Amino acid sequence: MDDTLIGRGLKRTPLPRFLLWLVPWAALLALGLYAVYLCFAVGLNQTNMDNRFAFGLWIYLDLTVIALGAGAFFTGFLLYILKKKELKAVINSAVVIGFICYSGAVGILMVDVGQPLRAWFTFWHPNVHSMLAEVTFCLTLYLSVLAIEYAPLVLKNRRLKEVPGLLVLENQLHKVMVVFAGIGTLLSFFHQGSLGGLYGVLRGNPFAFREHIGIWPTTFFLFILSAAAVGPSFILLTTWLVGKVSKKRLVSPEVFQTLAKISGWLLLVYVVLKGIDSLVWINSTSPKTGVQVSSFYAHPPFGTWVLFAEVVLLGLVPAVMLLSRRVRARTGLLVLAAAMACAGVVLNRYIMTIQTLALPSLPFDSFLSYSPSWQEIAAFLAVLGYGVLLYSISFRWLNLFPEERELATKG
Amino acid sequence: MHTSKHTTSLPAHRYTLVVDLDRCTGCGACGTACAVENNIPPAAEKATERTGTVWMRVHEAAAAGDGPSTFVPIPCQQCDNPPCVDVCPQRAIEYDPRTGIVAQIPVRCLGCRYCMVACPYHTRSFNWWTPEWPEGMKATLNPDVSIRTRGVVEKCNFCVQRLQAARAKASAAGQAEIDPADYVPACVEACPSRALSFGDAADEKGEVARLAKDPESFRLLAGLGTGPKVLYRSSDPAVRERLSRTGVTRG
Amino acid sequence: MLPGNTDFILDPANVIFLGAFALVLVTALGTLAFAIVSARRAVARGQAASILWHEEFEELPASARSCRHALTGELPGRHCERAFDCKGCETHARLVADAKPLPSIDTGGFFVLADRLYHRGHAWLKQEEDGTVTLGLDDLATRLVGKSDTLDLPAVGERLAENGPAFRLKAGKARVRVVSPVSGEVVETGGLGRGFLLRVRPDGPLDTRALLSGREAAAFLSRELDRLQLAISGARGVPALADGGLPVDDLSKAIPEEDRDRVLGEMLLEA
Repeated sequence: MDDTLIGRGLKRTPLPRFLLWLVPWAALLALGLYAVYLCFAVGLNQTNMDNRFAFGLWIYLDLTVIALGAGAFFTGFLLYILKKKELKAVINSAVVIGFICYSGAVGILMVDVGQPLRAWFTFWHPNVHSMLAEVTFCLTLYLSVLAIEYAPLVLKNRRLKEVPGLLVLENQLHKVMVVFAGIGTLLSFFHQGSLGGLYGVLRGNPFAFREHIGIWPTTFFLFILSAAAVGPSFILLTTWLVGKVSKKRLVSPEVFQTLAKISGWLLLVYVVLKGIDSLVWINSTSPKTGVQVSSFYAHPPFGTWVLFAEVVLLGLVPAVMLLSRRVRARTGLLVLAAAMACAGVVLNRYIMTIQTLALPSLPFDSFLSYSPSWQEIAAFLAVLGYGVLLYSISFRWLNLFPEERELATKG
Repeated sequence: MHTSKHTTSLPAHRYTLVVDLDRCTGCGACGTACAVENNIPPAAEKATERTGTVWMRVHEAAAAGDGPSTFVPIPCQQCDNPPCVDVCPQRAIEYDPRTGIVAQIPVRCLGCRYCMVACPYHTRSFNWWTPEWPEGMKATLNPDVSIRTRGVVEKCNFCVQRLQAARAKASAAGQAEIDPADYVPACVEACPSRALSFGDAADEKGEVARLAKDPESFRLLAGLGTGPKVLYRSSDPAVRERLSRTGVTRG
Repeated sequence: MLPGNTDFILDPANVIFLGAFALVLVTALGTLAFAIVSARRAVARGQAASILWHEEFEELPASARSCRHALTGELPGRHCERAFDCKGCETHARLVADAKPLPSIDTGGFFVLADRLYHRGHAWLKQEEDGTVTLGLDDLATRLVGKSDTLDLPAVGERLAENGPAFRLKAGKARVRVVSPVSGEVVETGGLGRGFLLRVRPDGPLDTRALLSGREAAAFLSRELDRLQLAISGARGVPALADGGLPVDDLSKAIPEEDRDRVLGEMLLEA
């Protein structure tokens, strides 16, 4: 059964070993599902969030995985719209990773809200001025688009494609994929942006609030750009990791070069714009409300080092590294640079979600701390478990890397 | 698309609460009266200061030196330019353009808590637990206020049900406007030291309008431009200086 | 949300926001519906086999896609762009028109029989006097089938499509289909020992322009032997035999079990 599902010419580990590999991830998923059950059955009192720290680990996770999952839309955009053919080698993997990230985020979001059964209210009574309404609309639609993009990979499974109708459907879907790539790009632009907008519009919070360009705060544009910049880096990182774990050559080296160059350039533009935005915020936006920016960095551990780490150490440095031919020539350094770029965005999302809430606002407030409960951590890890499970299964039974077979035959 | 200014045309009535900090003893009667009036359930066994449901919080602000603390009752500030209304994805928060009252609609609330993040005054409560009343207490519930379910956000709405009742009374008597004496929130009614006063700031001759212009009155976080309709007063310049600041200078 | 609903607010922001999303939703659903409808239509029209063959062909390695005129040396290095459909190929038509009579058959270790035509999926076709055709495996493919392997033949009455699966080969864990050189109805099944595998009544007049014979077929088989050797040695980085030669009598023995599925797929043009 298992043998007939594995693509022709692809070497995969024996089934028992594969199942053994899945066990710990399935255990993580099971523990997380139990935590989710507790949250549904007993309530969100199972978390350590409270009326002051109303968003916690989960929102941070949502923002982070959606930024990292941007590789799916951006690779699709580069391949189908800008015709960067070499990225065909990673598009399937990018779609699976995107699907994992987005479905994980939507899943966690459904646990995070107090009344998940009312989620459809947003569609029926939308407040079009709310960034969260925009996020909800775009995210739901884009997850559906990702599912449609995932479908051809599944239909091309060795066993399924023996049903002629399914493979014909795959063929037809493939022909219209450019439309879905276009829609995916449009939707991603808006929801990546709106996720940034979530915080940039907070008029009551001078730490998060930013100047507006038209109807959108600058964070709207910075989130789009940073997500597009690290998307390819994350694809590079995951492809390298999957290659290491499976001990296989999955893509030709040129693919890494292309991903790194695109990531590097976008990251550089992002860092410059983020720098300008920070200067405007430090010198104008925040002081106008009567709050000096220095006060935001007076609460350890959030010193000015976080700004430096975010913009320079994990922004400018990896951008320059990714653009340097000498760094790119050495896989170790290249992967390090990609990891640093991803870490920069992970830190940015952390600052946005956590520091924003930890800082005091009323004159007699104090700095708040919050540490997630085991239920929150378990649900968080469940997304990781789910991701590894779905990716492992896809890697085993679907052809995620079209170049793999040829690279294996070359020896 | 994402910024709407409510301040462009101020409502015909602007119901406003004035808190005299010099008079507040921090007794908490306002909060108790509020809970009784608005069907706020007794705190769950494991509820903390930060997870309980409180519409009227009395905060103790310590003085700079060894001076006496100031007690600051903080209900929803009923902003004229509220940062919360626009963030709700499904219009579960309404700014009434006739009264300036910002009301949360719990039956429409998804419980996403974005409004809680958006509010710099921390005046909202999320129902972390299923609300439960001991058997005998159920009979004392206020029939004019619906109870809320677990997983939704709630907050002070200036006892808007009392405004409805006052309107009904006026309407029955054939009057166009309500008698101001008929619309007084529960907290104001309950305050033993008369630290709270309430009225329509749009009524130029009224007491509240006069207090609003008084130099001893100030608003919390005025620098954010939210336009609260809860005013604070103190004759002590040091207290005014300390509490009217926007942002914290030290941790 | 919708106009007419009491909750609908008619203002530019709502119209733009909801209109844009409605547009995106309709485009996505419309495109999906279009793909599903055209897939169903293609299947109903019997185009499934052709579509699948073309898709499969795209994924074959370049070495498997050589033009027949490259095999004979007329157009060295040329690759087929038409999934071996020579019927509409202008290059083929021109070369065939100029062609001199084919010289005698050089078997190169394999038998290429004069009474039959060879498909590049390794099936042969023989026109019988009663208007039917018989199908079989060519000499090279026959020797790839080991003693314990089985052929899954379709039942009498089943329909074959040109370039669609004709029958399947089960060799250990390997499962490979052999493509049919003709469209038609199966009227009789044979076996490896009976001289043919299937007897088929073709749909309409027979068009054999895409099939090879004589010198071309011989060149094809000898090139296929090279490909086989490469396929076997490729994965291991060393030639299967020190002298590079293969035991031509039973080629199935030369293929290691774990490579059999891949090698058979490569030889029988299944991606």
